Formats: sequence, structure tokens, C-alpha cells
Amino acid sequence: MPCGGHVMVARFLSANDFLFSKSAMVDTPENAVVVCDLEKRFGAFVAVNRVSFSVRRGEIFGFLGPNGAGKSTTIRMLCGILRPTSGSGMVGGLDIRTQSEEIKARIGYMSQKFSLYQDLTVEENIDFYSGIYRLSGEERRKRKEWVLGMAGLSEHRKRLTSVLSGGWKQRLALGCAIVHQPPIVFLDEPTSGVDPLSRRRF
Amino acid sequence: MKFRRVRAVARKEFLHIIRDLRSLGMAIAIPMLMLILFGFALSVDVNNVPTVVWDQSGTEASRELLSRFDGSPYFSILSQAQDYTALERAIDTRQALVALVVPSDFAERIRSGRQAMLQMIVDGSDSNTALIALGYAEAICRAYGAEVAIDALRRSGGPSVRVPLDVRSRLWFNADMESRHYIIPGLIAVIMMIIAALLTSLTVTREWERGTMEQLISTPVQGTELILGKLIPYFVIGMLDVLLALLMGEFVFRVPLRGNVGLLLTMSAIFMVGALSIGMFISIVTKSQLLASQVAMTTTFLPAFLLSGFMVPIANMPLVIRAITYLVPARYFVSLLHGIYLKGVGLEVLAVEALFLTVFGAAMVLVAYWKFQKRLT
Ligand SMILES: Nc1ncnc2c1ncn2[C@@H]1O[C@H](COP(=O)(O)OP(=O)(O)O)[C@@H](O)[C@H]1O
Ligand SMILES: [Mg+2]
Repeated sequence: MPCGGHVMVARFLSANDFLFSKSAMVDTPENAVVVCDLEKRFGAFVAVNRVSFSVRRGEIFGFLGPNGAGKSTTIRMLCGILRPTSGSGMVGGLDIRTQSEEIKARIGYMSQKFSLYQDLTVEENIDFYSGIYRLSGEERRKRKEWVLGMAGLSEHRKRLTSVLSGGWKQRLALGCAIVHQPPIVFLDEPTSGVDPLSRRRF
Repeated sequence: MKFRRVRAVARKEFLHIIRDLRSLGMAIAIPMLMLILFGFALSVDVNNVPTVVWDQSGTEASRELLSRFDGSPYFSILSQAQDYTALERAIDTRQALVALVVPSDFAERIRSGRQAMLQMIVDGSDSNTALIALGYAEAICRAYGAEVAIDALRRSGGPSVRVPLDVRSRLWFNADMESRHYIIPGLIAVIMMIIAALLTSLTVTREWERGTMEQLISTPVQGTELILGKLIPYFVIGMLDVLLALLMGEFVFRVPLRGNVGLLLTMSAIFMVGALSIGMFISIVTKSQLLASQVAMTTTFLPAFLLSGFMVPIANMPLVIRAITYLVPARYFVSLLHGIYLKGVGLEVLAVEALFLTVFGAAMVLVAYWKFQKRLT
């Protein structure tokens, strides 16, 4: 990752498979993410069954598990876009239940499904997200060039996103998710549908 | 609320609109089409009704009467017939809507002071036109009859005759009785309702269906910023539609605008915000584009079309329906439009309507905001 060690990449694994010692699950400044007994039910269906883990600052943390294990659901709860049924979680020292809006300013999230605007050009998508994250002036311009360079799309900035190939799309989505240089990044299956060569680049 | 975010959302939404030629076309074509349709085709005025005559009398008196029909703006005599078969054919083939038959003893009866007859046959399949045409015909005959009577009296050397009553009715506000002058202003309300609700009803649902909303709600963007940013481009388009309607009203349909244009635009803007927010609200609660456009049609277009009083005056509706119209925001806007357009009155008269409209606009914005959740499911 070009933006170095302060980015946490979380490719989640069904957390039931993991046992953490309780001592590790304290919200200290070294811990970027701390999750305790996090549970999500959809009706009677348990999508995430009391997950506990913690991720240190600078750590790249992966989450592995079969389809339907609850990886995406866990990430969504950590991003503050899905309310947990029970349990607690801290992201960057903020409570996912009560401070979800504050969390959103400090994270980057790339969802499992491609979620950029296909009818906008590469550049327009980047501009939109840098506007949402309120970048301005010189910083905005620099970050745009950085995203374009990282995604290898400098020559294709005026192209519509819909005509890009899978790997390009994914890199652009990643670029938009981290255009504001968040200290914590959640990537949900960032390399699915990407050829092995592009996968290496991630 | 941060200006930069609102601007980012508004700009993105503008781009969606100009990239999607269909919706842009809709925003321009629908108003034009409706204006043309209602302005030209749907005229409830009765003018130049095609008329066929069978003048069995063939006298100066009968020609005089018929020339009054032809000379009025309501009838135009297109052909002469010599028998009933020809009359019937003219009406059956819709070459004529009205047939006039002057009996052979017409002049004779008039001269001898007996009551003369005129037969009028009207195609009742268009009952509205038939009724109005009958009314005009009666008026023409009555005027003719009165003149004949006065003439006769005078000639018989009677005392100078004074007509006891002379009614001269004068219509205010729509002196030419042009239904167009009534329909075009009200149509603006209907157009705005359709455009506003239909276009915005898709803007949030589209993002849910395409998955872009999931990305968006993971950012710090606030509900107010998102809603406002999405409303701005549609507001601009809607107001352009209002201008389009105003210009067409002025230059194509020649509808006189007697009131203050500034007031008209201000009220349109308020109504527009309300209508856009309805669409936004629908978009937020439905989460499916198909459902959203159907809900938008039934909850905004139909009431605006049927219950706003833009075509059928509310006073002519049954009591129950009349009560329901008070819940239709377009109703207030239509009466504002009529007031400003036809009567040239200002806020001193239209304050209640303006107040209702403002309350409606504000309430819809709040409801849309309150319903928007930055969360999944
Ligand atoms: N909004 C929802 N409503 C109902 N069930 C859901 C919802 N979201 C996810 N699920 C279910 O929760 C389970 C976990 O889903 P998910 O977190 O997407 O799994 P993974 O990402 O590990 O493949 C799946 O069985 C899925 O069908
Ligand atoms: Mg998943």
C-alpha cells in the first residue's frame, strides 16, 4: 500500500473461528479496532454470532470465511452503517453505537459490491468523494493525482467508469474510499473479480 | 451542514441528469407536450361549430336569420342541404354538428305576426358542445325575435317602444371566455407536480438499487446535505419548466398575465420545493425505482390533475370531493395562479393560499429529512 503502515486492511474472517484473550480486547491507544461480543440478527437469523477481536494500530488484519459467514455484516457494523443487535465495538477509540458519524470521518470503506457512479467519469467520481470529504485546493488536486496514479488511470481520467475493466474499477473504488487518507480502512473482498496480476497490486 | 458537501452532491446529481438523456428529455418534453395538448387540443370553447342548413323558406327573412348564425363566432355554415337525407349524412359523417331547418312558411308567419319556427338538430354525442351550441342558438333566435317584434310594433304605428330590460352581462377576468386562459395557468401547477415528483422520486431509490448508497452512507455526509444537494438540480430544472410554461403562455397561447411575475415565480419556487420533497420522500421510503415512480404518479399527478381545479372548477365538484381538495397542495397553487394570472391580484388577496403553500413546502422538506436514515435496512 502506497499510503504506508497506518492503514489497516481488514479482510475479515468469520470470527467464531478465532479465540482472543480478553486482555487483548481493551480499548487502548494502540488498538484501532476493538470488538466485544458483537452480534447481528436479521429477525431470527443470526448473521454474526458474538464476535470478539481487536486490531492494533498499523496492523493488517484479514477476515476469512465462506460466503454467508458474516464478514460483510461485521464490517458494516464497524463502519456505522448497520446497527448491532448486541455487543460493543470501538473504532479509532469511538463507539460504533453512539459515535457512528464521527467514525465515518475517520475510516475508508470499500463495499463488496462495486459502488461508484458508472455514468460519471473517473475524475468526476474522485471529485465527488473529495468533495464529500471536504478536501480543498492544493490538497484536493494532489490527492486526485495520487488516486489516478495509484489506480493507473491517469490517462483515462475522462473515461466513463462504466467502460473500465474490473481491476481498474476496483482500484478506482479503493482510491475513492481512501482519498481523504483515513487512518483506518475497511475493504470488503477488494480483490474479488480482479485478475491475479491486479490482485498483486493491492 | 457543509457547503462543500452540498455542492459535491448537487454537481454529481447534475451530471446524472445530463448523462441520462431520457430523464432530461422527459423534463422538457412532458411540459411542452402537456401545454400543447391542453392549450390547443383540449379547448372547451365552442367556436365555429360546423353547421348545415336547409332553407325551405328561401326568403329575405330566413336569410337574415341564418346570416346571424353565420356572422356569430359560434357557428359557421358550411353547406346547404335540400332534404333530410343530406342533413343526416352531414351529421353522421361529422361534417356538421348542427343542422338548421327553416320551414317554408317561416317568412309568411313572421309577416302575419304568428309564431315562426326554426328546427335545430344537434349532434348529441358530444353533449358538452351540443348544450353550449343550443344556448348560443337560443340567444341568437331570441335577439332576432325581439327585433322582429319591435320592428312590427313600430311599423304598425304604435307608441315609441321601449325595451323594458336590457341585460348586458360583462365577464370579468376572462372577458373573452377563453378556456385556454383558465387552463394554461393552472396547468403550470400540474406540470410542476409531475416533473418534480417523478424525477426526484428516482434519485434516492436509484442509489439504493445500484449499491452506491452503501458507499455514500459510510461517509460523513449528512442527511440534510444529501437531500439538499439532490434537490438543487431538480429545482433548477423545475424552475426552467416554469419559465418555459410562462413563455409559451405569453407567446404561443397569448394568455394575458395581469399580476406580478415576481410573485408568481416566488410562489412557484415554494410549491416546487414542496413537490420536490414529496418526490424525495417517496424515493426515501420506497427503495425501488419502479414502485417509486408508480407511487409518485398516483399520489401527486392524479390529485393535481383531477382535484386541483385546474380544469374543472372546484366549486362545481360534489361536496365530499370538494372537502378532499383541501388536502391537495396543487389546489392552493392553482388558485394562486388563477388569481395572479387572470385577476392580477397580489398577496393581499392570496395570503391564505400562499401560507398553505409555504406550510406544505416546509412540512415536506422536514418529512423527507426525518425519513432519511443513514443506515442499511
Ligand atoms: N440485510 C439483511 N437481511 C437479512 N439477512 C441478511 C442481510 N444481510 C446479510 N444477511 C445474511 O447474513 C448472512 C451473512 O452475510 P454476509 O455478512 O454478507 O456474509 P459474507 O460477507 O461473510 O459472505 C448471510 O446469510 C446473509 O444472507
Ligand atoms: Mg461479503
